[in-house]
Amino acid sequence: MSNMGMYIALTGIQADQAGMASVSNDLANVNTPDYQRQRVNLSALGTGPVGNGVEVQSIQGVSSSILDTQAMATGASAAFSSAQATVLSTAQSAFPEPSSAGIQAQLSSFWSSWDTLGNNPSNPAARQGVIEAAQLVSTSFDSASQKLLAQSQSVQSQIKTTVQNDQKLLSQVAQMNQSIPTAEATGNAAPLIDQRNQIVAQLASDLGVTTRTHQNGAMTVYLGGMSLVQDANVAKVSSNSAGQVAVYAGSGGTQLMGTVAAGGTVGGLAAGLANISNFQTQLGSVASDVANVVNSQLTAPGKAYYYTQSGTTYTAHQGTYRLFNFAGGTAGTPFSLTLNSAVVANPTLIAAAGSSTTGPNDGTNAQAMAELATTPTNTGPSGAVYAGGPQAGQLAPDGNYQIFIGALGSDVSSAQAASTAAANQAQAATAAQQAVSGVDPNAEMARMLSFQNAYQASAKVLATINNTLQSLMAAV
Amino acid sequence: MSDISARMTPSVIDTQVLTGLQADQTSIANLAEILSTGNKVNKPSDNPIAAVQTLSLQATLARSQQYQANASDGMSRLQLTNSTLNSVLSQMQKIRQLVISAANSVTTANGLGPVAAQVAQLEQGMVSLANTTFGNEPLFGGASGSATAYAVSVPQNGTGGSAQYLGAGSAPVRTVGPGSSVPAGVANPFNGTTTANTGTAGPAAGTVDVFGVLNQLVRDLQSGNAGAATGTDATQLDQAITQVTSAAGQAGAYYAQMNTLSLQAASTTQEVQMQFSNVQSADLAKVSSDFAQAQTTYQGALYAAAQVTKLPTLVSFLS
Repeated sequence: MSNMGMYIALTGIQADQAGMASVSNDLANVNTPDYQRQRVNLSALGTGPVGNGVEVQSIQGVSSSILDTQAMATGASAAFSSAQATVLSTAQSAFPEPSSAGIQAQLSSFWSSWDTLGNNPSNPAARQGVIEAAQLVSTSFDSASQKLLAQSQSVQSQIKTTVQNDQKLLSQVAQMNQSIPTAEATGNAAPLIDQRNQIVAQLASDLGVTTRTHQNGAMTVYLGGMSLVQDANVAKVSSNSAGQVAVYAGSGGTQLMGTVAAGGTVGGLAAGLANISNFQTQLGSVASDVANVVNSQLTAPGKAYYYTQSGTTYTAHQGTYRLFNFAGGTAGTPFSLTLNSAVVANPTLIAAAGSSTTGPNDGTNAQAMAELATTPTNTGPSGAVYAGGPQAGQLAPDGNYQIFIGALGSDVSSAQAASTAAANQAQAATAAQQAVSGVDPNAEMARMLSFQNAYQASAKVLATINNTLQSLMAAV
Repeated sequence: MSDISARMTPSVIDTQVLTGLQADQTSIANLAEILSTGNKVNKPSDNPIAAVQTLSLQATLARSQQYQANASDGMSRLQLTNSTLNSVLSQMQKIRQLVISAANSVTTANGLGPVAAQVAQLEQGMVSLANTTFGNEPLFGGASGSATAYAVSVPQNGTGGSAQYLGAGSAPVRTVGPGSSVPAGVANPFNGTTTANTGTAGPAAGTVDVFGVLNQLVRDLQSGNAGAATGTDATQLDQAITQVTSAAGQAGAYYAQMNTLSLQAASTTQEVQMQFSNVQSADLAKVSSDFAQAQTTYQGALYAAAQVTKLPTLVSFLS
């Protein structure tokens, strides 16, 4: 009977020691990301009237699968919004508006230069002034387009790098799918699970993957309905230029279904790419509108003339020289707005006159050009390049540009607002998850005290039984 | 941020404190940008609607300033036109007086000689006034590239003399308002013909060629034809004076018109500048006080953060 008591006290001491070890492990991991605090599951032993003491049934990480899923999903959507907002803010920096350095200011100077020419049509400096102002306009448009191009290239390479890195993470998950079931069968799999959680959180934030954990501890990782990791099998992922992800059955395998729009950072970057492509299209439309409007004014049959001089004789010529060359292939690709080199070399070819019977001091066509700044171009310039974006011919070129900047501004500001909101949600979800799984030193101290007290009590029981036995022996 | 009932772990507290501090810093940075630029809208995303408004006002402002520049250029051209035509008119009045006094006092044909010389000299003076240039353009030559507006040869010894208008097109205009342009001068106020004219008829029926009339007068004076000089010539001279006076009057009317439109452009400029500053310029007093407040908030948050992270745990009380 007394041996029994001592044995029971011993199980208590052992259980409390395990408990204190768990407290110690929790405190050691107080700052470890994705660490789940431990719960020591104790159970009473024995069936008799007294029982056989206590045993540690298991040590388990404390988590809530709902909160974990939520934290992963909100984390992915925060990463998505934040990536998109960053891409958009950078794109916006290509347009220093409103300022005196933006395209609007260049356009205004350009239109004014036509008035100056209209007032002094035979003044070579005024013609040069138009060329210089046009040069600034073309450079501004070109450099904005090139900045957007450079940015979309950098975003594409970010997507590529992220997806390549995620391929490695996926392989790690597959490896752990083999080691975790083994660890769970033989002992404590918690550290491995913590580690896998960290990897999967990164994957969720990068790609917006979802997961399902199986009974045996293995985890399947999904992206858009396709499994990227199942047991020990890993699919091969790769990204295309639009930032969409293609999934192949293992390396060298066939492609499964079409491409998937990823979530997370990659998805946000891809959405940003689509925005940039859209900006490129709209900016191209504005630039081609400027080019078309100016060129058609300069070459309008019977309305545009330039005069050449030979001795004291002036000859009128129908304006045939365009000022701008616009080249832009398809929507979304960069365009180029350059000046006609023939006109740059010989500004006399600018058709400033409105009649062939007046003379070189006729500046009426140049004056009409200046008015295009505010006059809607009713004669829709032929050959509008893009179907999307502001329609050519509806507004003055300035108005088209202003609409574009307004649309850009709202895109950026709504992406920023979405990013802030998503970040708040993610933070709340993480806080909720942490509230369940995180380590709280105060709580750990309380746990420690209770284990310590129980340990001391069991030890006291052991000593008391021992004393009792000794006094019994002495009495014999 | 989280429910009161939720367990607060140090990492949750840390994250919340950090997020709060970062939000404070962002708002301080935004206010600092406004303070340093003086502008409410520094990026299109700050306020897309205000950004578009600003751009549109910027364009309107540039345009109305250009209208003012056009008007002041046109007005100086019109002033030159007016003063030149007025000088011409005073020469013509002198010629008229010479002719009238000659009709009253001179009886012999030879006596007309000095008068003829005087008139011829005055006519020469008028020709050089008629060829006044504005910049590198002949003031009265319309849009023509010719260096002079009129080619006039004064008769000698009662024969010869011709006048020709070398210009072409109407007088240049200046755009002084949206869709409104005003001529910045008058073309061919002396009603010359585009082919060398040895007679007195102007290009349109019932008009006279001013220099043709003067040439005829000089010829008659030189050849002692007092009757013609004081008769038909004097009548035609009166018509010529009327024509030039009316041209000068027209220039004056254009000037007044341009001046009015210029004032309108100036008031538009002023109005747009005011709107521009309403949309674009920050209320510095308000922003400064917001900035000070944001700083105070930030300092408070920093203090709180320092205190929170210093909070003892149970560890401190267990010995």
